[in-house]
Amino acid sequence: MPQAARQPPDVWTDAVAAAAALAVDPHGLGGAALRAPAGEARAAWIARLRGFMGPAGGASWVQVPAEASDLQLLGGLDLERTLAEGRPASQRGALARADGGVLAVAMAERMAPSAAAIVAAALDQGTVPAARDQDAAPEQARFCVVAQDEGIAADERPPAALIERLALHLDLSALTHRDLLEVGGFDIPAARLRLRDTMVPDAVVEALCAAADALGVGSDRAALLAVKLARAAAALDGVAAGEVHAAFAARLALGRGRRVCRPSRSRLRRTKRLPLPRTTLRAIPPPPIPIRFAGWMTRWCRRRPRPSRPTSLR
Amino acid sequence: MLIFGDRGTGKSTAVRALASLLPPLRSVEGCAYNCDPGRAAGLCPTCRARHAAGAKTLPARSIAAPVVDLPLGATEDRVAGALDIERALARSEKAFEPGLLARANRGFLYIDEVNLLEDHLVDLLLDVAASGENVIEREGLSIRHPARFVLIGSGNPEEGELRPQLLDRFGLSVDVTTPKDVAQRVRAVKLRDAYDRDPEVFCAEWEGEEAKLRRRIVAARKRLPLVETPDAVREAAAALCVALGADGLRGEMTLLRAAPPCAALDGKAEVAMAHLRSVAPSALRHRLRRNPLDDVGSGLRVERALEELPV
Repeated sequence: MPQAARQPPDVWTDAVAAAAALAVDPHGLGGAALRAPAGEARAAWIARLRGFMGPAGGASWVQVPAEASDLQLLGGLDLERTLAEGRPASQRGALARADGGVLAVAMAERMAPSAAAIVAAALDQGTVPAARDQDAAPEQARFCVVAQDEGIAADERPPAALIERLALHLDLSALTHRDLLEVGGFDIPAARLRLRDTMVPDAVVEALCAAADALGVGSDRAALLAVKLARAAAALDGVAAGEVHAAFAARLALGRGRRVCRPSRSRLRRTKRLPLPRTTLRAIPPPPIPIRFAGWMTRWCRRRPRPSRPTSLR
Repeated sequence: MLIFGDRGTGKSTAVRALASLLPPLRSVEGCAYNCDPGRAAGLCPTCRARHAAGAKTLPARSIAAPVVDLPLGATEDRVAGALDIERALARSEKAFEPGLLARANRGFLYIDEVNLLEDHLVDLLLDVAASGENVIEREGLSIRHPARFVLIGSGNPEEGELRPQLLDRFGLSVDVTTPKDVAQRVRAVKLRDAYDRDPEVFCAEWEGEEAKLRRRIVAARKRLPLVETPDAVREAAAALCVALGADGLRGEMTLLRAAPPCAALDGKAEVAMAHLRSVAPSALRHRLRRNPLDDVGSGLRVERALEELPV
């Protein structure tokens, strides 16, 4: 990872470093939730990741649509070929084909929860879940997921069960082609060899857990993935994990996609103070007040200064 | 059993750990239903036919207690079993292909996000879990096979409510909260990281502790038929259910079924009030009628009622 400790973190540099870390430990990190519209930034990032993962023919890259059925993911009887050939013909599922490489899900925000549950189970176990034949050994399926999220609104997100298991949460929607600079200096094969022996000191683990706690991220899995990401980043540098790597991991793994919706105290206070817009006030019927006080109330309301319209919601 | 809790709090890890902790099972070689060769009563149709045909002892092998995951989009076909299409197409034979319930026999069936599962599937699962048998009557098949398993459902109650009738049929419930203590989280993360880096070394390190726990469980299993429940405890259980207003008798029956194993684990021959107190929250927490205007959680209500019980 380029040692740019003094400069503020840049989205594109972080993203490329994240791709490198993912290539160092694909199965451990789970994958990346890539939020970006179809365009140059996303294509450039995917090209970088494919370059890092290995030469063509090395690591497999399996693309599945969001509406992938159970059969396409798990494999099983290929009905067309069976009927054509007259004997049972099976097809290998996408999960088995992605073993050792990447499973790319297009338009992940439209993914069905059932498909997400199957992919999540495969990520957890490292094998194809619920194989048909009980006695056969389950097929190996150690891969990482790249969930290509093209959602625009805040609630258009891939299923939570899948996102939970992906370490990297990247948002490239604000990048233009001018930001896509060359970022180099990653030695992936050497980092892969160093990965097992790279130390993550207790202080870093505690700092990441404390950060998760402070950000309201309740899931232990998120903290675990942050630790693994810090280790991968440190392996790229060839040192034990330090403050820089912990900060990198916190930015990417404990980021916006993962936060539990617990509004902070200051946000609650602000929401209470915001006056209702005038149209709403008119729509609410006035409470019934005794006739005696009615005149006093109208005079008091006319005298009270009207609240001004808020210019910016801060 | 029902486990309430947020994502990433270790629910499925705990279930798999439990299954691997239990002593291995003996099952008939080649049987899709994990039949027990020692018990002639609970055999599947194939094994029963072999047994009747004169095989004195069926060939056996040792397997770990099966833990089957039910995926969220599972259809009834996959869960209960259906016509084997491959054999039907290839050899024009009508055969039954066992589903997930067959594989879970004598083990655990784990359902993640049970509150999002379709109602007819939950009904089917609870019926099978209660009766211990899966009955298939469709597509020209008429099959009845043993399906005794422990149903474990997990979910986040904020994402969807389970109907009260279904909630009631789950025996015990556990509330898993996010650890508030950072030190606990650090310890959990460190242990899991150590396991991921070197699973074999980790398992070897903890083998001693696991073996101790396993021996305790096996000893408690042997002791269980001899544990007695005194009348005072039965009356206290009834009084507790009446005080909490739990509907039906299932709450009480669960209490009286859960307290003896607690006593057996403790090494006692008689159920004491302390054992009743320890199982009461998990047995009754999910059976109480909730007043929407009442802020107090159900767990607290159970504890308050327990305090008012005569000791």
